[in-house]
Amino acid sequence: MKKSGFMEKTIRGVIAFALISTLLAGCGKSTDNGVKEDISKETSASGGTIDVDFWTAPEQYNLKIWTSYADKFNAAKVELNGKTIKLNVQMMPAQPSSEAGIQNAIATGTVPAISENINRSFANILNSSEALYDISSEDWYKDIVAERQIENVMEGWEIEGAQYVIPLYVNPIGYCYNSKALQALGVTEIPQTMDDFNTLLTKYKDQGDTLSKDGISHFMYRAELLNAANYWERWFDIESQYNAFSKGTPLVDGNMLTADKDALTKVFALYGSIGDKVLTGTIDGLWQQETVPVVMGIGLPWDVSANIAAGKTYGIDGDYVFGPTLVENEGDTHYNYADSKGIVLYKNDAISEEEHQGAIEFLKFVFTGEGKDTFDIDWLNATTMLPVRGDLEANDMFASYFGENPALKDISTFVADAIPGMAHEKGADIITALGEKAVAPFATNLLPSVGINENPDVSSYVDDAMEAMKTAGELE
Amino acid sequence: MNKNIGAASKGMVKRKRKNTGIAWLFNVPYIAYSMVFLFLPLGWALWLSVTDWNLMSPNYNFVKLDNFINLFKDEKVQAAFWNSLRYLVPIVILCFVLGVGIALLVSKLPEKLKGFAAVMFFIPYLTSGVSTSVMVKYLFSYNSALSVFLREHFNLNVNWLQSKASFWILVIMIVWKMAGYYALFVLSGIEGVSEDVYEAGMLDGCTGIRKLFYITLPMIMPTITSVVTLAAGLSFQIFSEPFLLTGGGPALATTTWQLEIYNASFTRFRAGYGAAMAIANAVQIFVVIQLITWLLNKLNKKFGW
Repeated sequence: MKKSGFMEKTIRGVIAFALISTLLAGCGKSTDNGVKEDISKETSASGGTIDVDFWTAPEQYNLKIWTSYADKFNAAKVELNGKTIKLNVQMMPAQPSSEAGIQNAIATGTVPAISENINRSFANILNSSEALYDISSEDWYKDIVAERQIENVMEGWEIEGAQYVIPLYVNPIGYCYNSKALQALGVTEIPQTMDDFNTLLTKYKDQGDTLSKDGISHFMYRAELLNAANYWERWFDIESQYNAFSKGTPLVDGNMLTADKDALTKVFALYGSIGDKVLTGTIDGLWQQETVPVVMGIGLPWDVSANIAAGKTYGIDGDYVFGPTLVENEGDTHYNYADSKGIVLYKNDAISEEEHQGAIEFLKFVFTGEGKDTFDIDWLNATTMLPVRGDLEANDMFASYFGENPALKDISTFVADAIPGMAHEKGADIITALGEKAVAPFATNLLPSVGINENPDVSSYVDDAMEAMKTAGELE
Repeated sequence: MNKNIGAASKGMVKRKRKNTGIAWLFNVPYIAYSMVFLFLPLGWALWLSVTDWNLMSPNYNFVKLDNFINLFKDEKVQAAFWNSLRYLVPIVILCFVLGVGIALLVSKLPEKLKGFAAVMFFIPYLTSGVSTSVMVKYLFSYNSALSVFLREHFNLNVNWLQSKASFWILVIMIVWKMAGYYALFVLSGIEGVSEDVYEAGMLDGCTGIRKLFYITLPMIMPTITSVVTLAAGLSFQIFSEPFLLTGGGPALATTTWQLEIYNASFTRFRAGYGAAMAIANAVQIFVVIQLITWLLNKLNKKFGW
């Protein structure tokens, strides 16, 4: 009897184990050919090859260009310790966001050896989580910096005296103008200074009714002022212009709130001078509309492709034209926000030293080796995003491209003055608080209640902004 | 005699044990599933909620109950708490009313059309929140036909998705998506009511709208209980619509637990705090659903269920 009971229990146990194992089997890491792969160091480097995973931004054109360079690299059969390096490219998971995808990959030990699509703020968070390699003292890194002439650019990417990112592309944020509205107002020069801006605003005030009949109902479009949750919008509508007014003074430096209050006041005052003529109703694809209902908006370089697809022509005689951030005096530097991302090398127990070295070999191949003369122009053609290079305006490689793409040529002139975002662990909290406590209430309560050039008192909103950033970031 | 009884009872106990064993065996998949996908994540979330971990760093601190204490001071959490109740009332009422309405309409259709009509009402449930949100965003944008019409003819300039109207837009979207789904439940309940009951009611003069209130609804009370409970639970799980359309604004008026948990965990990288939020959310769901179930059970008893 006892034996039978034992058998029964054993059979039940085995069945239960089999069922649980079957369920858990689905949680393993699977390769393309369906073979379950252990994420240990040995397996990835077995069989005479070193498999290196590379994650691209979650965009088809990024996947395409990186795959083409990975194919070239794999065809070159680069060897390390007698083994051939094989680069495997895939898009990073972006549900619900690419940052969350990387966060999840690090937590579960499935992070790749290398990825693109990392900005300075997120690199700082990854670094504080000990998830990145400091590359500042590596010879290959110095070679890449020299080859791309980005010594000055790298100063803006420094995090606590170290470097973690190879910046790949940059979108300097300025303004975009409705060329047809400028023509109607008799403006032939793109505004550079606050005097130019005020002249344009006054002309609009005087001729607003006429323009309104042509469908230009507002002076500026910025629906995102009301959206505090999407904190990154503050980089574009507040921080970029703040950088210009403050002459590059960071909002936050280390654990200090270093924001120039006067400069921040001037940013709020700029929007305040437009008042209820800031259009905050949502429009998808503003610059692709048949009639653009505003004179100006924030200049977002990634709109260029969509504008071309919509048949819009660039230039002051065309449909739209980009302009820099506004400065107080002629000759001042047009500092702006650099929406810029780059490549990082991940540090994780799941990544072997050979995989790490393999990733470095790929970087050398692309930026200082076989790919150095073609990658940037291929990148520009594929993505229409400006590569981070110190010689962007002078290098002949780009001359013909800029000849055919005047929008990007103009944007490229803002690159030298573009400053990447803050490197603070609570950067997202700080900027979210700026939106929640100051920008959104300002746009909701004050802007709709004032007209053009009424110049309302914005000081209470600026005080709220300073206090909110300080509290959210626990800053001194 | 006693010996026989004793032997019989022993035999029954043995059979019972044997039956229990087989029952356990058949329950193994569910138990294993619950262990892997319910209890382990729950235990993990409980542990995470007392740390300041961001899911990435090898270093983190045990912060005891700090995360939970901070929830009480967080205006976003307060907004999520009250908003989930604000969502609950219209969503439950509208889902119930429309669910019953659609089910009654479909039940009156000829047999050949019933299936087709039921599927047509069910289709919104299959559409993703993302695609619906894109359509709604387009419909309520500044330059949509609706907005242009209102501006040109009534001089009305409504910023739909950043005004108080946004809450009701989200409610209507959710009700549109779910009402057809709940109608299927109600329809199956209605179809299960015997014609004899209606005939008996008719003999007593119960016709027209009274038939609905005195026969149909009382007879499908268990189904209504399920529908109301599911619709109430839905109010705590809203994410895609505010995430894509309003960002939780204006002034947190449309934010939800799920949106705030996502923002805390994956936008601000405070996974420990996000886990504490998730647990607070679970507690609120548990209390509210218990309360609703208790009320519905009272109603069920009143109608003899």
